Amino acid sequence: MSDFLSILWTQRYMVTAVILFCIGTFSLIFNPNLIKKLIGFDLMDGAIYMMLTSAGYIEGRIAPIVTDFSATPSVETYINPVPTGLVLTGIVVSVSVTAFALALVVRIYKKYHTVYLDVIMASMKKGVD
Amino acid sequence: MSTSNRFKAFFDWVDGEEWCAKTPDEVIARQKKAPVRRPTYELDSYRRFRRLNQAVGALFCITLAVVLTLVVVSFPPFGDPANPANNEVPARYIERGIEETGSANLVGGMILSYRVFDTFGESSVLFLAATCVTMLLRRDRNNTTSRDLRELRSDDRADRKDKDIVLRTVVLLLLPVSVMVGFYVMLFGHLSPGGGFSGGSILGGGLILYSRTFGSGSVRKFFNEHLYHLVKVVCLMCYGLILVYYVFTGSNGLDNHIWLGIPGNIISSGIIMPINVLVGFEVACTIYAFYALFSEGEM
Amino acid sequence: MLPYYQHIPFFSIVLMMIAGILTSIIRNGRAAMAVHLSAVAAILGANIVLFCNIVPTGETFLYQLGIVSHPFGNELVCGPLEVTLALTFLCVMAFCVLGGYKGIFEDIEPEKQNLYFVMCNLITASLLAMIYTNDAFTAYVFIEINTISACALVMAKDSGATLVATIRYLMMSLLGSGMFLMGLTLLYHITGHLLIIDIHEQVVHLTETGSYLLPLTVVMGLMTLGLCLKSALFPFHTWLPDAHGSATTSSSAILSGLVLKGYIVLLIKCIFSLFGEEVYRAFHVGDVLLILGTLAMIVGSVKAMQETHIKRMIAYSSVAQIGYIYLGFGLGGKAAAAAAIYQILVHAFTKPLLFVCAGELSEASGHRKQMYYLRGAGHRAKLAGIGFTVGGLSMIGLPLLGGFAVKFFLSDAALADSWRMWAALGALAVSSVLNALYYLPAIVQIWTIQDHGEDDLPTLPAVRPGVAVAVSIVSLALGSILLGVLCTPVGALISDGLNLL
Repeated sequence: MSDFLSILWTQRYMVTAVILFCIGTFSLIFNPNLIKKLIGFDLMDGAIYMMLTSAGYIEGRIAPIVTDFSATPSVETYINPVPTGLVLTGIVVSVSVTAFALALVVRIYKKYHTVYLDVIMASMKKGVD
Repeated sequence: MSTSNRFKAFFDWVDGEEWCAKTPDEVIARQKKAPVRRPTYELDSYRRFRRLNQAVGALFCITLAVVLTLVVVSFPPFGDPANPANNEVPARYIERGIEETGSANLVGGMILSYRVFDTFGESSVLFLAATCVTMLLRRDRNNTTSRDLRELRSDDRADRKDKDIVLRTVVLLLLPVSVMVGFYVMLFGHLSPGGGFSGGSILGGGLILYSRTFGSGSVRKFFNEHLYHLVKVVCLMCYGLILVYYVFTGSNGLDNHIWLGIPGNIISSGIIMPINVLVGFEVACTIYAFYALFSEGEM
Repeated sequence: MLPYYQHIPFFSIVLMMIAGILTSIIRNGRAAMAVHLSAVAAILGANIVLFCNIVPTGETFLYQLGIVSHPFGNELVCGPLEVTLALTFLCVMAFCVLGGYKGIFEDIEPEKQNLYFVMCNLITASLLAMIYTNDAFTAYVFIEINTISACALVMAKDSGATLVATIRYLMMSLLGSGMFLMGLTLLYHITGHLLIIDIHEQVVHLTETGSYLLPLTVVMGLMTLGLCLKSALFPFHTWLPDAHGSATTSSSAILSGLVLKGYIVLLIKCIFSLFGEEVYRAFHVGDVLLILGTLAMIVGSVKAMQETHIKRMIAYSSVAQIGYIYLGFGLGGKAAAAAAIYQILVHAFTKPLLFVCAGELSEASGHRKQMYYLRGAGHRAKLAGIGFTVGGLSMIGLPLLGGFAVKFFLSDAALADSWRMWAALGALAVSSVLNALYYLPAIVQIWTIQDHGEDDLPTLPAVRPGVAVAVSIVSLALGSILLGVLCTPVGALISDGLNLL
């Protein structure tokens, strides 16, 4: 048991990311409120980026920005730059998607005066255009 | 009012409940601008359905959480140099990054040279999102009523009347700083943390600040929709052309004659600084366009 | 220097993206359409050259994007299968836009028409990138491009129904890409690579040593789930009928014919290149796909039978047809997968044909889409009626049409395995009967002569199709007939290509 707990502690960033991911997924699928769905999506993506960043961290090393140009940079000094780069790319993607989805919600609110997806579906069944 | 009711009212307020129609009848009433009556029985049926739905969802997500936790527990330990991710790929990026890309910021150098195709895709996503927001929110006869226009006009009047001296002075002091920081982050993206996207966002933030204080009319004097399209398209096209040149020469194994400069100088790092500047301008435009389209439906 | 044709995949993608960026400043919708079509035509020509160069020799090559090759930089991969898929997708793209162009210019506000073609250009670029990419993260970025532009195609009509359909589609897609990215992240943790061939090496190594088996299973599950969500496999199909049924004709055709297939092509890459088929089979993910595919074939058809709205009926039929593809993957083995890919080609031609013809038929019936009002529409718009008949019969599986070839290949492949054979053959039989039960009445309905004594339908004039629509219908119909007639050479081409993957 204490073994398991100590592993949980070592992997704390990933475990946190997993919990955040599941909260985000829950909100994205099961919350009828469109804004909260989007918050869930951002939470989910944020959790994934956290997980990705934690793949690149190495104990005791620094961010991969070279300041001393006299010698060839040594692998022992810097953390893994790949996940950081992927996160940079991913963040832009989720910003864009969020902007698009929010614009859609604005239009839907203007049309149906609500952000609850189940209410909108029910009113469409009742013949609201 | 009991404490629990108070909490409920507070949560409803946070959710913006009063602004939303809660039943189909209410949607119909609001669309016809008829007075709204709130029937409670139907509301209860929605609440019941939602509660059931969320119970199922909670079960699903807890299962997912347990499975994923088991997965991450069996993962290579956090922060260990012997992890599978720390293989020859990052080693090469670190050891030969400066000599191949000329960029002291190894992350920036990596995403703009080794993985430049991805990054071009990413810029296209941003462009695409801006286009979609334009498609949805740019004012046309489909999405604007006369009431919206009236509201916009009255807002504009209020903005013009309201000349808050404190706000204006603070913004005038902040604006040069934010523009300078934006350009700094963009231009030093290959030497220090930063790059096109972050610099562009700061620049766009400055524009939003200016527009918020002095009204969108004053922004339109130097940055209108025409210029927006021009900057966006020119930046992305130049980026695309750099990409084509870089990939074409690279894949053929030709010397690309890109001058990498002395690492650590501002003018160095070959294609990375120009791309950072181009992306920065595109992002600044896009961020401001998001703001303008969301708030007023036009640039 | 590389041979010239090896540059074609990269230049196709970038040219399409640059065309998309340029289209955003062309004010005139028709000019934007001309730019889009000429870009597609140019790339189509280039890809034909590529096809002629690599298919006879069966050559597969890697193309490095930048100064370094794998495992350090982005890369494209191209072989016979990729180029065949790319050719099909490009053809169908052009015909979808041509076939629905009237609808585009009627349904969309004039000042926003050019933006529609921005989406068309970028969707083509992202489809090509998903076909040619050899890098899992590039695949993710282009999945997102594909998602956003597909949603924009749905909402372009800008009515309440399309907006709601778009948000539902978007939410489902976001969940799908989130799952895919999570899978990719976990995979990066245990393999440390992003290029598909390097990941494959590591995955084989891991299964041989028996380490990280649980993470590997979860990764497979998450990536497959993500792509299934996006390609509307039952039970994740709920967004599809609304999105495809309410959008403008071109959008429905593009979404059904191409966008869903893009994700499936990626799934093929995942199964055969990323994990490797043996590994994928060993983890039994395929069995789940088999069950879901079988259910999709039946449920989709039953739902389609209940529909009276013609476009929604065709959309539900897509759910069933996607089930056929997943059935092919679920059966396991190269032959079944080749049948699934054949179904991708056939469906890419037939479904746009049905949507374009349905659009024309409803236009000939006063823009009404309920089955009841379509009576006699085939006599008013003859070409569209013939096209609809060909498409419907192909879906039912009449010999000499594409659908028959698929069913033949699938049942042939199913014979290899005992319990899977019964599931597959039973589902094929039931689904074919069900297909006939809703396509035949629809065909009969559109060819019934109006009897003015009995019904209250107004007499409508005959509609002459424009040249573009006629070209589109004839070519798409020809495509689905040729795929039926030439099933042996095309099938051989696909299975050779699959072996080289």
